Amino acid sequence: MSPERISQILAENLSQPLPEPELADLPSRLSSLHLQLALLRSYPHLEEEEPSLPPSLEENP
Amino acid sequence: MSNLADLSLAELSTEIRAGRVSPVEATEACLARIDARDGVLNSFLTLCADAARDEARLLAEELAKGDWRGTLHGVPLALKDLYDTADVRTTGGSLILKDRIPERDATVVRSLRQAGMVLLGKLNMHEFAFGATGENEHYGASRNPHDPDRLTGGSSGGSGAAVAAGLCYGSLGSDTGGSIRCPAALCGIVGLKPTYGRVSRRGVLPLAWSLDHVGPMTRTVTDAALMLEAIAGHDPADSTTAQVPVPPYSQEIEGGVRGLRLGVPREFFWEALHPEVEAAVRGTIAALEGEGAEIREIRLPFLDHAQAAQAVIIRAEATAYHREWLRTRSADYDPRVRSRLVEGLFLSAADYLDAQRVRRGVRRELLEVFAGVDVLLTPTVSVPAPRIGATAVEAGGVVAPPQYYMVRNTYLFNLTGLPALSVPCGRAEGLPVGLQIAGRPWEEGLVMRIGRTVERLVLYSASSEKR
Repeated sequence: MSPERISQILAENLSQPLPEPELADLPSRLSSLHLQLALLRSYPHLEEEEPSLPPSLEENP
Repeated sequence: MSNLADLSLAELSTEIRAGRVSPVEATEACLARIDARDGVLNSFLTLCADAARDEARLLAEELAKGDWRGTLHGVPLALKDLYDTADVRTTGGSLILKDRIPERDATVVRSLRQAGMVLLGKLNMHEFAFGATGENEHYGASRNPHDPDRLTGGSSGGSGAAVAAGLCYGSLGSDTGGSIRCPAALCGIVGLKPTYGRVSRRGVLPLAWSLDHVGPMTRTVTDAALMLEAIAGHDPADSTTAQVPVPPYSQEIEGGVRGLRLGVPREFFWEALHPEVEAAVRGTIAALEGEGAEIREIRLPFLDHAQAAQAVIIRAEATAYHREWLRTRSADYDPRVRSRLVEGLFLSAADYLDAQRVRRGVRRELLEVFAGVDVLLTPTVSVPAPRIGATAVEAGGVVAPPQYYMVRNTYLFNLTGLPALSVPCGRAEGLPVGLQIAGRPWEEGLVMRIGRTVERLVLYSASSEKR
């Protein structure tokens, strides 16, 4: 995601700009999140699964 | 009786029923303990001393007339500050809700009041429950009764501290990734996350709807069973609660472990682990084997995918709930909480649905594991309580922030909705260690039965702790 797009999402969703330390840390946080997303998509049974319902709804008599 | 505040909930209940202790005396004992200790522990955000005294008097009058509501009649409890309480502020540990006073009780609060609870007050927590250390930027960290320089764990940190120190006889926490079990382990008490759908969450501030669970935090397993009996069951106001009968848990927990198959994961839970925590947990597992249980080694090859699914779902759902406040009051969040919420802004609907697809697969795979075992046993938290303000903790050759260790062993049972208990099982660096016991859906009774056996074996008593 481009820095411009990141800035746009922040501007649209936050009442105040992020303080500098949080802003500086954001790219590495988003990289970690993207690694998690890549891991999700590597789940070997992904194609077999539909999205989960809350467990109790799946099991309610 | 050495000190009334040191009794377990069950012991106090027996004394009240027999007329040897009045609800007023029990309430005053807790208020005196709070006065003596909470200046340091910082577990209460709101103390309802006057209202508690009034409630205790009314409940004592009922007893004098021969009306006994049940086990919780006249028992002083305190609640994590995300349960709506009519006319008592409910902050979620936040600045944003610091003056919020709900008009009505959460369903579980109403159940506890009907059962005869005396409400002492509302307890400190990680802001909006989105963190597991028990530190709070706005109200200060709750402090561990075993060493006030140490974390309580979180997010239900005030509950962990208050129960362990005898400031109340029990509490309700909430658990989205481990927030009941983690402070229970670090503070040396019992914490139960029931099956998803077992207990109503109506009137409880959400963190992530599909992962949030409500449950008791107590000094003994029997006390947890008694509290669960009072709050479990279907709630028409919470569509996720199930129409599954509520058994008499407190009568199911004395059966021992002979013949049970206890699953012990071979990997992950034994990495990044403090050696004294490992010794305490392995020693307890060996003791259970000595009681006639069969230990079976199992594998959980899906944990990396499970962790990714949990990370995406919790961020997506929490950010959805907080979106409007981010747009209007983003400066009022703890920066560490805000950072997690901001991450959720960068997730798509497809990302969230992929996480829910993986979740379903992980749950199916985990239930297949349960075909060969009755429960799983793991350390609850892999290190003893870190120091408040610590930025890095070392265990098993891994150096990481305290937050890393808090929920790495617990989140799996939020993602899958299975019941999980933390019960004290020993010491590391002189601090409490918790054993996690996870079971099949709706088998809280079996989980607590094994926890009760551990309690007997370890001869651990919160009453022996420093107070």
